[in-house]
Formats: sequence, structure tokens, C-alpha cells
Amino acid sequence: MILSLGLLLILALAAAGFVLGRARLARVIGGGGPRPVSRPIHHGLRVALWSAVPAAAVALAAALVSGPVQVQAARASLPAEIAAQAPLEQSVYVSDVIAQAHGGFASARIRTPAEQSAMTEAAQTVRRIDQGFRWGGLALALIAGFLAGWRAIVSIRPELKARQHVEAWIWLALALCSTVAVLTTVGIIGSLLYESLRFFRSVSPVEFLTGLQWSPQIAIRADQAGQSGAFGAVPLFAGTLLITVIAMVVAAPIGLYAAIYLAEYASRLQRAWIKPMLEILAGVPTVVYGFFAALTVGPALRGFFNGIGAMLAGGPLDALGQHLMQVQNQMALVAGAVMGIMLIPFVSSLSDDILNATPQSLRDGSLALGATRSETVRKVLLPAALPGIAAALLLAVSRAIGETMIVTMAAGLQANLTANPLDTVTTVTVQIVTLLTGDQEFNSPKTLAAFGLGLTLFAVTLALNLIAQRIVKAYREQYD
Amino acid sequence: MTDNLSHAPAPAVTAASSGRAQNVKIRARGVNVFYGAKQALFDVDMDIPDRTVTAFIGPSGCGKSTFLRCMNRMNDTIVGARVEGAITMDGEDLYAKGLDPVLLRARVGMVFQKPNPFPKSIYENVAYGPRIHGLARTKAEMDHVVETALKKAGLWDEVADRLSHPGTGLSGGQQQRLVIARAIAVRPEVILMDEPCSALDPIATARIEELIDELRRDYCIVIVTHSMAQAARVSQKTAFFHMGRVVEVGDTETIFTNPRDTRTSDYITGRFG
Repeated sequence: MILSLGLLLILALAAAGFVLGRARLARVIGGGGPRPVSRPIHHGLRVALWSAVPAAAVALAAALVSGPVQVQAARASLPAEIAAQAPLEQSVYVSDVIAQAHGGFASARIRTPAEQSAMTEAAQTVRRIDQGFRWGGLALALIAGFLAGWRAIVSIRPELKARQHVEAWIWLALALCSTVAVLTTVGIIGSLLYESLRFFRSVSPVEFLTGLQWSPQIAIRADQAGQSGAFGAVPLFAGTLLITVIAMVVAAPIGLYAAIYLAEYASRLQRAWIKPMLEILAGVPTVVYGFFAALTVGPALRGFFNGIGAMLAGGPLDALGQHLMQVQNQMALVAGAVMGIMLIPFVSSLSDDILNATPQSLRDGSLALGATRSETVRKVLLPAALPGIAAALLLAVSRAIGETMIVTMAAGLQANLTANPLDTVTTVTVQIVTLLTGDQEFNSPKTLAAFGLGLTLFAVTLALNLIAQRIVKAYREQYD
Repeated sequence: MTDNLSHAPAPAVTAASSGRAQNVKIRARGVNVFYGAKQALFDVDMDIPDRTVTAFIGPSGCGKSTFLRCMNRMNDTIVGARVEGAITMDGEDLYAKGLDPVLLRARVGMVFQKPNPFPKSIYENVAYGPRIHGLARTKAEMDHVVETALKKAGLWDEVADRLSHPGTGLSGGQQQRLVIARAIAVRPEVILMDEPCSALDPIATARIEELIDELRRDYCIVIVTHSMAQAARVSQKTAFFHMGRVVEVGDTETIFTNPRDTRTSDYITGRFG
């Protein structure tokens, strides 16, 4: 209640400031005199901002300080027998007091009557403090807003550059918003680095980056079968690479041909239909592709290869036949192919934009020399657009490397070091998922390995994106 | 503007007006062009002589570029464009069913308003057309074709030592001559030029104009221009277009000194357009 009341009051203050600011300007210049350098609306906005922002800042400060002060008060009221107990019990008591004061959930501790009454008393103190901060904070906020607004009104002169003041506030707001994004990125990288360092303290980076065996189990008992765990990530990198290659073999030609068709051959009507439909394909959630891969494509391909295997078995190609008969639902080929289909719209949409950005004069020039459309595309437009298309493909690769859902559902979990697309493989992202899902303790190398993998993945995709961006930029400069 | 004209030396005018028998290279009869529902050209009749420079003048949007693009069927590449009437080259119907516009464009070259070299080397720019049409079988033949074309375009001396450099690195005037060399390399019969100097400075323009005068010996040239002085300088025949119609066609000298139509004289003297 008090929150909405406070908000309303601050808004009312701002509105009043706006009106008064304009009125003040009109009075100041009333008898002729110099022309004001700023328009009335900017004077009004300046006063409104000067009253609302300090008021809101004071109210926010009061709200932030209130919580710790309440905790402090509850802690000060600890009965002697609880103060003698472990720190954990003390905090439970404090949070129970706070809960009683605000009507939240209390712990199931059984309290003696003496403790009960002490708690009730403490809760009342806490509630008083809370109320005091709320109303006091609001009052202070309004006073601060009023004073600051008043100062702003009094300082209105015709030569005051009110627009610049308003724009400075807006600049500040915009800068704050962008800082949030930057700080978040920095925070993520920081935590990734920190946890990775903890991981690399127990597993050497050399073993991690060059080891050929991945089995991140840690034995719980000394006599357990699961050995001490191996953290060689090469099979994961190989699996990721295999699936990415398969995906790009599917996505690059189809996406590129689709882009050429859209940019050079499709009529306007066809383009108006096909382009949005391709973009819908880009909007399909990856989990949908995932069960499409696991439930439809996987079994179908397994049936196909098993059938061929059964035909070959016993013949001259018996070994191959036996191998094909053992193909399972989960294989690199399924995950890669479905991921490739997912990537088609990325490749085609970007390449289409790039082909469209090539100047019409190149097309005209080539056609006027008696080249066919196809010769124009192959010999003039594609070479001209090549850097941009390479960048589009790199972006698709970096998506393929980071893609998780499809591979989790369709590629399998066994860390095989293989180049055979019919084997099950596992990828970096799949391993991160399996390492971190379920109940996990957060200080074993097993869980921390996820951060090591995450950091590697981050470094690779960042590098790819940077290269792609640089290429795109160089390409833009060529034609601007 | 009139001042300009009286000074224009127009060395070719005398040759053209001396009554030398001229073969008609391109003949247009009753040509109408539509872009969708909008008609851009109305009943154009014109005879364009061989080995002569014919200039199309007229205010913006009067249809001169449209008519130019009819002659190599570049209008086919514009969605919704439709051409009616008859255009023949050496008596051959350019809009006949059996004629492939792609092959026609090798015989009727075109130079555009803005220099548009391909993002390839100077050599590859010129070799592009001959390679497509199979005009050279060996590397030596191709070298010869490229060199000849560049020489004819008056660019050879400037680029002979840097044929492998990108064509886009040349200056505007050099780029336009490169594009002309590229067009010449496929051995066309006609060269269409759509305001070829409008993006160039006066010195580069003068070079191109000299080149056009030289090329006149071997080719039928049609040039669209906004500069009346240029039309007077380089052409022997001039056609004045206005609102999608050809108002007047004739010897350049006649058009500029003694036009029949008041609209022509108004335009030439700068009273409109």
C-alpha cells in the first residue's frame, strides 16, 4: 500500500514540478526581456526530474537500509540462552523474529515461553522500525524532492539551458541501462574463470585439454568400482567437432542455395512467402527439434542402417554388415543432421541479406555483358559476397557448437573418441548438462569440470564470433 | 548554355552532315514501353545509323534511358516491364521468340551511369566477358584480347604494370574506361552508354569523350546524356525525348542550331528541364 502511495505522491510531485516550472518560466520572462534559450517543456521537465529523482533516491535508500537495521535490532534482542548457542541457531532465531514481525514462515523450532515473549517483543520492535522507515522514508523523500524541486524552480532564468539539463539526465539513465548489460557479462566471465581455476587446481589443464579418456565419476567409497575419474576432454571436443561438421555439411549448401534462390530467382510474391516461413523455422524451440531427432529421425535411420547391415551380413562385407546391425538410435549422424536443418534458416537468412546488399550495378554490369543469371551469381555476386557468407557460416558454426538440446536428446552420453558418424558420441554441452543436473555437491572436480568445459566453449565461440564480426565489418566498408 | 554551344567544336558534325551514306544499324517502329500499368514510352520511331554517335537528350524521366535499355533487352530484367512494337538490328527482330536476350547482350554492350567494375582484378574484369563467351582458348589469346580491349579504351598505358590490382582501386574516370574496355572485349556491334560521364570530373569526362569519338570508327554508339554541351561535342545525330515521346530526331547540328519544335529549342536554351 505504502509503495503505491509513495509512487503516486512522487509522481504527483513531479507533475506539480512540471507545471510550476513552466509557469515560473512564463513569469520570469513575463515582461518581455530576453528570449529564453530553452523551450518551456524542457524547463518543466527539468523541474519534474529534479523533484522526482531525489525523492525516489531517498525512498530507495530508506528501503535498502531498513532490512539490515531490522536484522540488527532482532539480533540485539537475542535472549542470553540463545546467544550462547551456535551461530546457525542465532540466525534461525533472527529470521524467526523477522518472520513473526512480517507474517512469514517461521522455523519449526520449539521455543520456551520466555523465549516466546522475548520474540514477540522483538518482533514488535522490528515492526516499529519497519513502519518508521517506511513512513519516515516517504516523508524524507517528499521533503528532499520538494527542496530539490524548489531549488530548480528558483534557479529558472531565461538563459538557463534547461534542455541540456534534461538531456544529461537521459544520458545518465541510458548509461546506467547499458552498464547493467556490461556488468552482467563481466560477472559471468568472472564466475566462469573463478570456478574454472578451482577445477584446474585439482585437474591439470594439460590433462584436461589433451587427455583421451572422459569419465567424470568420483568414487564415493574407496572400494567402489567407478574409478577415480578421468577428465580428458578430447573425446568431447571430437564429438562436438564431428556433430558440427555433419550439421554444416547439411546446413551450408542447403542454406546457401536457398539464399541464392531467394535473392536472385524468386519473384517478389514467392519471396514474401518463403522468407517468413524460413524465419519461422528459426523460431522452432530446439527441444522440439530434439524430440523430432530422438523419436523420428533416430529410429528411422537405425532401421535403415540395420536393414542394410542384415543384407550385408554373411556376405563378403560381413564385418561392415555386423557393424551396421549394431547401430543404435543415438548417433552423431542424427544429431548432426537435425541440427543442420535447424541451422538452415540462419545461413539462408544472413546470406540472403548479404546477397541483397551487393550493388544492383554489379548485376546489371554482368548481365549487360551477356552473362546468364547463373553466371552472374557464380562469377560476380558470390565472390563479391564471399566474406559476408563466410561470416554467416562461422556464426552458424558457433551456434552448432553451443547447441545443447538436440545433442542431449539425440547424440548419446558415451564419450567415444571416433570419427564414425554412426557411433554415439557426446559433446561438451551435453556433458555440462549431465554434470550439473540432479543433486550435486559444488566442490568436487566432477561438478567443477562443467565450468572448465564452459570456459573452453565460451573461448571458442567468442573467438568465432569475433572473427565473423570482423569479416562482416570489413565487408560492409567495402560497399558503403 | 547557348554560349557553350556556339563554342563547341564538334569535329564530327561536319563528317556526319556531309551526307555520307549511313547504314541504319537499329530501326525502331512504334515502340511502347510499360512499367506495370504506367506507360514510359509512346510510339517511338527511330533509325540509328551505324558507326555514328547518336545522343539522346531530354529532361529526367523522359524515357531516354528506357529506350536505350530496349536495345539490349535489359528491360527484361525489370519485373513488370513490357515492350511493344518492333526493334530490329541489321533487319533482325530483337524481340523475336527465338532470340536469346543473353546472346544479344554480347552484341550490344552497355556502359552505365556509375562505373561498376567487378570486385576482381583489372585483368579479370576485362577477361570476364570473353571467358563467358569462349572468345579466347589459351592464356596467350586471352592476354591479347585483354590488351587490345584496354588499348582501345585508352587505359592500357595507365594499367599495364598493375593488371592484377583490383579494378575497384582505380579512379572514377579510369574505372569508367575499364568498364568500356570490358564491354569492348566481347566484340559488340553496338555500345550503349547511359550517362557515362555524370559521375566524373571534367578532365575524366574529356578523356571519355575523346574515346567515344575514336570508338565511333568501329561501333554504333548510342549515348544518353544530360549535358547538352556533351551531346553537341560527341554526337552526329541527336534525338530529343520529352514525356515519353521522341519530339525530334536529326543531325546534331540541325537540332542545336535550327530545331523544328519549340519544345526542343526551349530545352536546348535552358528554358525548362
